[in-house]
Amino acid sequence: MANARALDKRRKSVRNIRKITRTMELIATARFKKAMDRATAATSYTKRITEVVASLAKSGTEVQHPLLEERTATDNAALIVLTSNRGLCGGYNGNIVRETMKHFDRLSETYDNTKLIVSGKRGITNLEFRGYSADESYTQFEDEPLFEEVKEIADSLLDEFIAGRLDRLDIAYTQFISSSKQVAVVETLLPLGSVGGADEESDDSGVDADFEFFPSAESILEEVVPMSFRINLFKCFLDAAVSEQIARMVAMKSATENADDMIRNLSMTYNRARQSQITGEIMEIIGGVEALKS
Amino acid sequence: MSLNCIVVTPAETAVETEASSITLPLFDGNKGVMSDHAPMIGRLGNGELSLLGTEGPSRFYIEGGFVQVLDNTVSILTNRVIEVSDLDAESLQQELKDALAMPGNNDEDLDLRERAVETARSQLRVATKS
Repeated sequence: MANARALDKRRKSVRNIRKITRTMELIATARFKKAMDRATAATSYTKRITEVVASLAKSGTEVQHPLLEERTATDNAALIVLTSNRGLCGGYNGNIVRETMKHFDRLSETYDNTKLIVSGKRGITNLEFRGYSADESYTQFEDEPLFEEVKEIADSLLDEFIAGRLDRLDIAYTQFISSSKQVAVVETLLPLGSVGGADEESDDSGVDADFEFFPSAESILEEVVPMSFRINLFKCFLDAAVSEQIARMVAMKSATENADDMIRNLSMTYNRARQSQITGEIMEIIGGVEALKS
Repeated sequence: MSLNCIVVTPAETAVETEASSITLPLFDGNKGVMSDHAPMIGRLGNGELSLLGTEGPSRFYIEGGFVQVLDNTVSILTNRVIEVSDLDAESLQQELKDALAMPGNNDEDLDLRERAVETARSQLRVATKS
């Protein structure tokens, strides 16, 4: 039987770890709620921009823009990867890294030059360890990505795309589907397949009025298309932030439960060890008394 | 008093209020909107958005985007919203100076400089108007 004192020490350290994981779980829960609110706020913007595009399409404007055209050239591609700066969030980063490697290899086959843009310390080190070094990296995005910061990145990528130095832009991130389901996915951001769901003709939510356009439908389109790219990218960052908090919450919850189990088992073993130690001591005393009697 | 005005940025819904009249900074000049305005979509520039609401007038600086007017609802989608009282003319003067001092050696730098100057100038214009 193990030493009772050593068992007690071990139980104490497990208790301390449990305290930490429990706190991290609570923090992640609070952050998740905040991130979720931000994601919902962004949705109201996307919804409205979709409305604008839908009314543009209905007015008979031909939706044409350099960002929407499919490129035949296969010179340059770029892949953005969104990971977290901190660990202890279960399979969150691992899943993205796995998707990234698969997709990066596929891109490299068709495109002569593939650039890897990684956000998040975990992704940078993890990918480098596997032999994929990032051409550009960002570490400033925490659980509250700012639109201004995302816009800067988006604008520089837009300039490259329009200038023809970039033919395709993909993004690997964790998509937030519901609070119980998040999936690591790879999506194509440029060229834009459609502007904010312009193909969805089904939502006739009262947008059948004859709009007047100032200064002209073309001019508005010129602005809407890049804007919808920026908002798409921003949405990815927000999704990733929400998913990270959920992943951490779940990981820390199971860590806490695991610690509970361990404490229970250790307590049981400790009590048994203590009991047998006492029994042993009593036996010794009785043995001593018996020896004196005779 | 029947216009519903909603100002949203990508990060948040900044303003949601009732107003009797709204003045918008369109791409090429200001435009006023009152109740029962015809459906309209406009491209916004940088400038001042003023609302005449129930609690008196309020003024904001907005930066680009779009406006949609439909059924007495004015939805304004913009990149940035700042309340005019939060703009500080002195620091904006400095910003403008800094923007003018930016390098302009190639097309990209020139473009950046122009954008910064334009932003600082339009903010300053709104800030000093009152």
